[in-house]
Amino acid sequence: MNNREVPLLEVENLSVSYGKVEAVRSVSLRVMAGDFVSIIGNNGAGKSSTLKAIAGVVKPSGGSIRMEGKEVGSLPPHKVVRHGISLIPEGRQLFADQTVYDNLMLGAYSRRREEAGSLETDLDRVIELFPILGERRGQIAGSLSGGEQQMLALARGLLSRPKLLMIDEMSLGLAPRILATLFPVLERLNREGLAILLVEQLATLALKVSLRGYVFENSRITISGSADDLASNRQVIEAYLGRRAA
Amino acid sequence: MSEVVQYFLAGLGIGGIYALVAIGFHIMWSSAKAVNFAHGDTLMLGAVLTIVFLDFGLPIAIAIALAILVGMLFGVVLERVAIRPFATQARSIGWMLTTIAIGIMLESYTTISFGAFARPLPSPLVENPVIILGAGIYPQELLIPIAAIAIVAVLHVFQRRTQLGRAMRAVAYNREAAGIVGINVTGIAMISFAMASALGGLSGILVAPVIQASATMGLLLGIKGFAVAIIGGITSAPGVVIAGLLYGVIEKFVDGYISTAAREAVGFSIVILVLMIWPQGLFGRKEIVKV
Repeated sequence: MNNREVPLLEVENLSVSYGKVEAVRSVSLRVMAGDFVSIIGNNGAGKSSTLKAIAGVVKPSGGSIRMEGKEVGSLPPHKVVRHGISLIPEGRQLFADQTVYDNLMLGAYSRRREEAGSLETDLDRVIELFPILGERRGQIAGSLSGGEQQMLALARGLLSRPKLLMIDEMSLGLAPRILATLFPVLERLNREGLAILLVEQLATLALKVSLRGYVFENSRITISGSADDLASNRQVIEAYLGRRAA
Repeated sequence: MSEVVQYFLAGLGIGGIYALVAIGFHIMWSSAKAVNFAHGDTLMLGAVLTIVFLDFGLPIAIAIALAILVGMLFGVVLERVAIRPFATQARSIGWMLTTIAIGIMLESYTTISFGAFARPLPSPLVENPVIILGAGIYPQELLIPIAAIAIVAVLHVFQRRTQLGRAMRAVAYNREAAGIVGINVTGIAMISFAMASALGGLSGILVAPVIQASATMGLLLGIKGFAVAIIGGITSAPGVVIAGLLYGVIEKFVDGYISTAAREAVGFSIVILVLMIWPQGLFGRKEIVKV
């Protein structure tokens, strides 16, 4: 399962434009099966736009996106999900007027009828990962705390049974205490074989949990390598790990 | 006393129709952030086609089912050709003109083919009035508000207990997030228009025995139903039903105690006044429009 020789997601020369503004310029990256990849960089560097393009939320203006060898670059989001790609969007984007249970059920929306039987098992599994969601299952999602909402967003994303989980700015607005419970969950999911592509402001934390990383700057990838190499790279330390550099 | 009861019950009857029309607007708006301004003509289509099919000698149940089916198809086709191409950009309003235009064309065509006169749709429920507290009322008029309340109750359960219902609420709340979890947003819009239009056709059939069917019967019903949807708060299905019933009752009282001429003036004045005080409608939620 952890065969990191097999490419899962292959992005080649991806470009994204909003009108005349080029948010992503010819970005190429790969995520292997069972991989844990972080994308770090400043605000507006094109990290989120890259994830949104992969998920089909924004249309790429150029390049290709292949999942397990199949081109998904021109598909709408609801079809991308069916290829095993799940996006946990920035700001969580829960269905705040529906209950925790409804949100989880919507996470499972893309399942085919023949997979419906495993739904109960998967619901039990995400509730085992985040027990608080079990306690709050009848509560309206908008009434949850920030940390609980992020847990629900992760759980909702997992219920589509992804092979690749993409997480956009998970740490945004969350206390360190909560992050200390969320990151180990990602490590556990990855150990169990799930590939993860993380976009994260908190570069130190991201590089600590991931295997490889890409640095985005001005809509391009400027540096890439193993997480350890990046964490000790002088430029990366100065630009993104600033405060903690020795 | 009997006069008050009379106006009240008759008001609920016509108010029930406004409520049914407004539920249709609620369903369409929720998923597509656009509505069919020819929705009133969907009622007309339901009523007129039922009479036409009865003329062909079809049994009443089949005539009704076919009329509702055609009404539903009308809504689906209209969404595809008159709304979707014009609602792709946020804040685009081309669909307002296109749906109004199609409604006018449909009314003209019906006037030519069906005739410019009104015809009653027979119903056993308008043969003999029942007497309630001295007021005489047709069972059909009592059936309409009951149908409106029953339909909103069923809708409420449907939206909370089924995957399709959850998906429709999800699309209403956040289209982007709905796509991310795997919901086909345009598909949901199509299903919503089918549901709203089927409901429109049924509403026309329910009201036609009371007000008679004609090519232009949908015009005022559609406008009032839309007004009721707005003052009730188009995001709330129970809200628009309450507003619809209230509007009908107020209308009947003005009609009875002042004059028929004063009815529309007073009614629409109330609409404007309510909107000045509660811009989201009485029971509506503030809409966050994401660009």
